[in-house]
Amino acid sequence: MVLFVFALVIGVVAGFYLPWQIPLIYSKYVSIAIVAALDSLFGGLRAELEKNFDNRVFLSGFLLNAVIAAFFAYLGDRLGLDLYLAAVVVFGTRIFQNLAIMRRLILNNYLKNRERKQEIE
Amino acid sequence: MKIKQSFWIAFSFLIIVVLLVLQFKTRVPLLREVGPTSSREAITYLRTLNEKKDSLLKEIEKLNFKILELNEVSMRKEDFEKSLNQEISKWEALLGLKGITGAGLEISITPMKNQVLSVETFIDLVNDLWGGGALAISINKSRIGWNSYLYQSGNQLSISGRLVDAPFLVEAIGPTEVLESVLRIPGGFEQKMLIQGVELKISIKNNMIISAGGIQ
Repeated sequence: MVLFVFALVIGVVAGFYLPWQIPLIYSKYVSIAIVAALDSLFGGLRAELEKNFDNRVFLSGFLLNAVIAAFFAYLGDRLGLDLYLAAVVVFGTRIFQNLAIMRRLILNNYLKNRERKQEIE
Repeated sequence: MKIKQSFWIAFSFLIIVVLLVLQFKTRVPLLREVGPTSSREAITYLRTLNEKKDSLLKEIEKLNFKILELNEVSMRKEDFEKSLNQEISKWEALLGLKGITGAGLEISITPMKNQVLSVETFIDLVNDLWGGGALAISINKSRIGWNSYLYQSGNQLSISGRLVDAPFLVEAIGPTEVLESVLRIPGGFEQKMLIQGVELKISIKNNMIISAGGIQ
């Protein structure tokens, strides 16, 4: 948890003080890459909660999903087809699914811990 | 091992946060500039812009009309100025303030030996020529202006203080036919000169120049 707060603070400060901006024409692709990265992040968190986290799977998914999503958006622009919508829908759905599973896992863990404590008492 | 796993997730989170902040920095000024963020807002924005465009077009039309009106007024003013300038130059010519060119009469008056022509003869001649519509008159190259005065000075004629002697050459620019007929009218200047025995020669010249010199 401390690591996440630390990452959040460093990320915000670094983002604000970095001397460059994302060019406006690439802004759309970066947005899609962020959604894909968020999906991977929540997937990783879920895997960690399920005790089956794998670094290689997480990092490869994190990078590849972001790149492929941005590439899809770019390709869609070139073809005149809103392909980025596909990425938004897929990653958006998965983010909500992961969040729901994580919520359940956290709740179950919390309830189990409480039951254990009650049994010990 | 667990710390290592959390580190990678936190590191990914850090990258996402940095990207989010950068994206925020890019998009916020754009949103401030553009205004609408959804298609509905864009439609409203477009309608407002269209209304603005229409009102501006109406304004332009009104202003164009005003420009036309002002052009007309200025043209009228220009015409007025033009006629005023013509009038001024006409009066300048008549007053002798301006040199004049054009067709006119050349009257050569040569009295007999020891004959003295009275100043009234010249005053009559000048008046006849003015009456005939002369625009400019000169006697021996002395311009007769609005305030010129002629008087006798012994055997000589004085034109505003300048003495001129015979033979006299009177030049007059104006409608040549009228001027000639005024002089040749029975009982007119020509006849008076003949009676006095003065040699008079009236000739029409197409290109005459009478220089300025009205004000003495």
